[in-house]
Order: sequence, then C-alpha cells, then structure tokens
Amino acid sequence: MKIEDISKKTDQLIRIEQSDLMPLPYPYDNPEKNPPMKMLTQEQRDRYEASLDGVLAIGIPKPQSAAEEKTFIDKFLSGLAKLFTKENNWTFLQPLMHSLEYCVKCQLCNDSCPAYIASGKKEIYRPTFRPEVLRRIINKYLKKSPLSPPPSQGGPGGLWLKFTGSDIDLNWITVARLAELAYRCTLCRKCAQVCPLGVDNGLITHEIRKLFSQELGIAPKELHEQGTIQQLKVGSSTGLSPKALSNIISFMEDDIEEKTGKRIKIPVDKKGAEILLMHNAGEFISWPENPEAFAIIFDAAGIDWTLSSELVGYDAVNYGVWYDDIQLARIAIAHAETAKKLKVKKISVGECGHSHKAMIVVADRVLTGDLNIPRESALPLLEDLVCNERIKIDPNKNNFPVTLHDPCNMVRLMGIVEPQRKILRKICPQFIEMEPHGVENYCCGGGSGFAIMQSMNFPDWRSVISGRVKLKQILETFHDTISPEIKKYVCAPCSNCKGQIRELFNYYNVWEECGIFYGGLVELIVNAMVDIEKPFIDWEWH
Amino acid sequence: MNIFLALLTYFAYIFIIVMYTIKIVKYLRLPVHLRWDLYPVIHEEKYRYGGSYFEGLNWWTGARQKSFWRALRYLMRDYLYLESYLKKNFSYWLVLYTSHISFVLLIIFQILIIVGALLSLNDIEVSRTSPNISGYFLYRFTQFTGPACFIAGIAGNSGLLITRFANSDLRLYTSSFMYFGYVFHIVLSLSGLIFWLYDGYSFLQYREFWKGLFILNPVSANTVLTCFIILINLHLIYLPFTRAIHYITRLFAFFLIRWDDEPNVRGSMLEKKLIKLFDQKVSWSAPHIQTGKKWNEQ
Repeated sequence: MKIEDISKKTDQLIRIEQSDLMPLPYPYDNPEKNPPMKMLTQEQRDRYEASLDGVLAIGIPKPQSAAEEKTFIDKFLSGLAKLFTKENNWTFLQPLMHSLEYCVKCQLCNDSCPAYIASGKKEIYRPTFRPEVLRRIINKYLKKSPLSPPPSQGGPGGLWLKFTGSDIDLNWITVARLAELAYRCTLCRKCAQVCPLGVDNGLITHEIRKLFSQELGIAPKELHEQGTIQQLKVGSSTGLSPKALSNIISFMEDDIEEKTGKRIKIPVDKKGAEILLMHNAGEFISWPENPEAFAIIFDAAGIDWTLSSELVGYDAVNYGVWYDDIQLARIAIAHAETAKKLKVKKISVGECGHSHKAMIVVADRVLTGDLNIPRESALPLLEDLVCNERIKIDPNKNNFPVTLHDPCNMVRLMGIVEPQRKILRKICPQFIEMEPHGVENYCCGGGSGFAIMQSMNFPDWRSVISGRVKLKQILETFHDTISPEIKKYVCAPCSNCKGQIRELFNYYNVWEECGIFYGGLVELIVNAMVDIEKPFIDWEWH
Repeated sequence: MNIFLALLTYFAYIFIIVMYTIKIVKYLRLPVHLRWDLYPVIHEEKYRYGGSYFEGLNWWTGARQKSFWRALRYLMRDYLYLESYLKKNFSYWLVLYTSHISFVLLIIFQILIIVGALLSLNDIEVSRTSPNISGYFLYRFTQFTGPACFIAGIAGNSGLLITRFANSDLRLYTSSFMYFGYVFHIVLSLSGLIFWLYDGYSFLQYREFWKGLFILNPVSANTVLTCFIILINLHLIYLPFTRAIHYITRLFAFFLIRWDDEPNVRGSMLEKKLIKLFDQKVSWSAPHIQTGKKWNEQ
C-alpha cells in the first residue's frame, strides 16, 4: 500500500491474518492453534469508522451529514495549526518541530517497533507511517509555501506537492483513521532510541493524540472520561472513592495479619511524614498484595511514611501524560498539592511506570514554587533496604526462575535500570535477564494506556499484536524450564505492565500451559523476608 | 557572464548563510519544553547501561556528575563514521557514508580553494612547486579533496539513488525531490570531475575566479568551469530547502531534547521561564478545556 491510501475509501486498509504474524516459540509455534482475533460485529462496523485495520480503540461514530464531515475536518485543521503555536503547545513544540522536519526516512527505526514486527510488518504500523501522513497533511494544508497552495485555494500546487512527496487527500476518513492510528503505538519510544538524528516518532503520535483530545475532545473513554476526568472528580481513575479506599486499607491490614501473623497499622494522612507513598490505585483493587508488601517492608525497616486519602492523592496515575497536556498538568498539580497539605518531605512513587515518568520527569516542568516537592521512585529506597540489609532476606525462599520486565517509562524514559536488578540479584538465586533488556527492552504491549483500554476488539489486538514481542521474549527466557510443572515468575514493577501481562497470559493460557506467573517486585522481597514464615506469593492465578 | 557568475556566487553564499542562520535561530528560540528524556543519556555518570541520577536515593541532594565532553565525543564519533547505520545496516551505511564523505570533502574543497585564493592575493604561490610550505600543502590537499569528493559524490549518490529505488521500504518514503537531490549531487560531482580533468588537475582557474571575487574584479571562466560554478552555487541555494542542516540540528536534538535532563530547581532561571510560559492563554477548544484562559488558570 501507499501512504496516500489512507485517504481512499476502502473496506479496510489492512487485514490481520494469523499466517502473517511474527511466529511465537513453543508451545505457541502452531499459528492455527492460537486464539483468533475477535472481529467487529456488523453493527459496530456500521456505526463506527473501522476501516483502518478492523480494530477499534476509540470508535469514532460515522458522520451523518456532509456538514458534520466538514466540521470535523475543519476542527482537525484548526487543532493542527495550534500544535505549532507557542502559547498552545510550548510544552512539546521544539521536539515536535524537530521530529517533523528532520526525519530522513532511512527506516532504521522500523525493526525496533514491537507492533510493526509482530504484525508481520503491516505498513500502517511502521513507525514512520503515521508521522509521514501528518507531515503530508501539514505540507499540503497548513504550510503557506507559494509553490504549494492547497488545491482548495485553486493554486497550481498539485505537481509540486507530488514532487516533494506531500501527496495526500484530507477527508473525513483520513482524519478518522489517523485518530485510530494514534492508538496503535504504545509510545515506548524504542524507535526514537535508535534514530541517529534524534527524531521521535513516538512523540509525533503523542502530539496527534493531543490534537484530537485538546481540540476535538476525542480520546479513548478509558483515558479521558473514565480516566483523567473521573480522577479529578472522584479521586481515582478506577472510580475508587476515599471511603472505598478506607475499606480497602482495613482489608489490607487484615490480609497482612492473615498472611504474616503481624498486625500492621497502615498510616494514612500522617502529617509531616518523611515519605508520601503514592500507588497506582489499580493496585488497591487488582493487586492489593502489592501495597500490602510495601507496608510490610516499610514497617519492618521502620520507615516514616504515609498514604493519602485526599482526592487524586491516593491515585498516582496521570493518564494525561499519554494524550493531553492540560489534563497532565491538572493531575500533577493535584498530586503536589496533596503532598504540600500533608507537609511530607518527599513523594515516593510505587510500582507504576507511567506515574514515575509523569510525576517525576514530565511534571518537573509543571510544578513550580512550593509545589515543586521532591519526588522519587520507590526503587532506590527498596534497593537501600534490601542491599544494605535493613531488612533480613533469605534468597532461598525465592528459589524459582525469575525474569524482569523493564517498564519503558521508568527504564528507557527515566534511566532507572539497576536498583531493581540489584534487588533481584540479591533475593532471587535463579534470576535471569530477558533479551534485550534494560533501556533496550521491548514494551509489554500495554503502554500509553493500552493496558486499560477495553473498547470492542481492542483487547484482542493488544494481545495479538502489541504484546506479541513481549510474550515471545518471556517464552524464550524460560525456554529451558517451559514445563508448567516448574513455576516461574515474571517480575513487572509496574501496574499497567502487570495488567497487560495478565491479559496476555490469559489470552494464551500461559499459566496453565507454561507455569509462568507474574507480579511485582515488592511481593518477591516480602516472599524472601526471614521473619515472614508463610510464602507471600500464593501462585494462584486470578 | 563574468558579472553573472560573480553575482550568483555572492548571492548563493549570502543566501545559504542567511537561511541557515534563520533556521538555527528559529530552532533555538523555541520555548523550553516539558522533559522528554530518552536513555542512555551520555553525559550521565551511569551512561554505559543507560542509568540516570534518578537511581539515587534523594537524588536532589547529591552533586551531579555530568560530562558534556563525553556527550560531544559520542556525537562526533557518529559524525565521523555514522556508527548507528554501520551497526544496523551495512549496505545502506556504505552508500550513505560515501555520500556524506563527499559532502564533507566538498566543504573542505571549497574552503581550500578560498584560502588558496587569499594566499595568492598575498603573493604566496599555490602550486606543486611553491617555495612556500603553506602554498605547497594547500595545493596538494586541494588536489586530493577535489577529485575525492567528486568521485565519492558520484558513487555515494548513485548508490543511494539505486538503494532507495530498489528497496521497497525505502522507495515508499522517497519523494521525487529526494531523487532529484541525488541526481543533482551526481551531476555536480560529474561537472567537478570533468573540470578537474580539463583544468590539468590543478584547479588553478577556479582559484583565479575566487581571487577575482575578493578584489571585485570578476575574471572570465571557460565553459566547463562556468558549468561547475553555476552548479555549485545552485547547490548552495538548494541546500536550505533540504534536510542537510541535520548536521547541526542533530546536536540540538540530542542536547536540548533527548538528553535534556536538567531538573527544575526552585528559584532557578528555568523556573522563571516556566512561570512565564504558564502565563499564556490557551485557545484549545475541547469541552474539558477552558478556552481563552491561561495555562495556570486551567
């Protein structure tokens, strides 16, 4: 297919066929036995624009009139123009302009994209495809070159535009497909890492998402209405209210007692504490053993810490980082205000990758004055506690194969590489690295919000395409111990990565067929603590 | 024709300098952005495995070890032999490197010709029999860089032209303008090579042309040299419309974007800049945005 085909009215631009996909290792080496991707129903196809790849992450309703189409296109163009103004997009203007203007299209980045290679190299998933579409639209419809006035203005630009490679038609279908296409990239930025010219195709995707959200109000509902909007209103993107949190904390205290025999009072809203620990609220609901493990470790080490019950303050997530700068800033400020109110010395972010990047890195230039409260990852503190033996560890309690998944946000995008490894080397005698790992890791496939997006058949796409390389990596790492009788553990110190791995393992039945379990880092630490008698990891799939 | 060639040359040099200055100033005047680091960050102490200062407990309390020179060396190494391409795709690297070498040699060749003209104006002979060591070496270097850049230009750009056309992944993303660029380089290099052969391998006439430009007394040029001068000047005018400035913007991209890990400290210049940026009105119009209000009022 050609790039300009994105504007052509066809039933579907590409089709995802099992036979085209990147092969998986044993026991998934027979493509016919692998679960097929769910197809959209005819009703869904009739209602939403699904002609990109037959998958819907956003689900843009089809227009009812020509006027509606025109409004949509006009709004898109006005948003596109705003992306290049300092007042509207100072936040990423320089990186955006660099990436749009200086890509030499050498395609060196192609093989670093997990979605592109997993799909069997489908053109629309190529990391340079999406930016090229945007670049052409900009050249044809936004730039005021005397040689290329848009045909709508009756200029003689057609040939010149073809000559300079800016041939594309802007119609409703182009815009709607581009919106969907912005949600086929996990923003893992592995492609950017290999670019010798510093071009960042992930950033261009991020900016396309912003355009749609900030101008047209279009974003996946899990990120926007049920995500940032809900978080700012109710307190958490999970819908968890302060009262429900209080109940969960009571449950956690009981659960800790049942598992360890110790009654630990989890501190909440303790003024002047050394550390405000912020978790992804998804942990409280889906994996309470993770915040429980933090509580056990901090209690054992005598750390002065607290949780917050303040709205937004008990949920470290900031989905704005994936699609909307205004929402990003609002949530970052709400997080900092929580810490300010509690007069804590610093914020420590639990096992959540994007919260790390949003709160510590990206929001660093949002928080000024007394809102600029020191913020750090919990991993260096955990490293200090484990490696300097501030808690007693018996590594033999973790004598099973363990591998580490590197969450892109805290590793490639933040440079926190070694603390988690030092801990694992100390507490897991059978720790084995994936290849590649560290800053060269592959995304879990759930990055940039994918792990929580449940629209129509998108979860299937996530398991079949974006998570495929990670599954392959995990299976290859445990190649020698792949039998389900040998229990193995993928350590993923990130809530969204865990969510994605859980879905991926469910989809391929990995627990039953290969005996591979997943979980966080702190669970492994507590599992190896000398004074915890019963195993903390229960090896029960749920 | 003498006057035309002189005027075209003056214009071409002024044009490229002005255009590149505008581009660079425009780039550097863009506002400070939110952090978008990508690791490894080479100036960081733990760059070997991609580590950052965020690995330290209470990272804001410690002194940062930052090596600007290591970062610069890293980029220079990539400039010297395009390491990233060499590691990933040897055949593409081969043609790309040859074409880049030709470009760099063309710049050096032009500088040598201009310096040679200046020496001649100061009565220093530039020839293989020059009693002056500068004149002798300048002549020899010019003799080497000229044909080397022309031959590399023909080989490298022909290679790129063929590779980008033959490889379907590359062809899809190659515009006619890019093909035109390769052909232009090939034609320019061919004209230079013909002139070198025609001129008796000395480039004497080209130096004389430049001498004339310096004393505002344009000298006549034969047809072969005229073609070469016109092409090289058109090349200078053409360059600002290409991505050739990535030699420079690449440095900015690494230092100002990818490796920009400067933390925002209370009371710092950075913070002052950010406060100003937050004082701007937003015109985004989605329902959740308060259009017309400032960033700090949202």
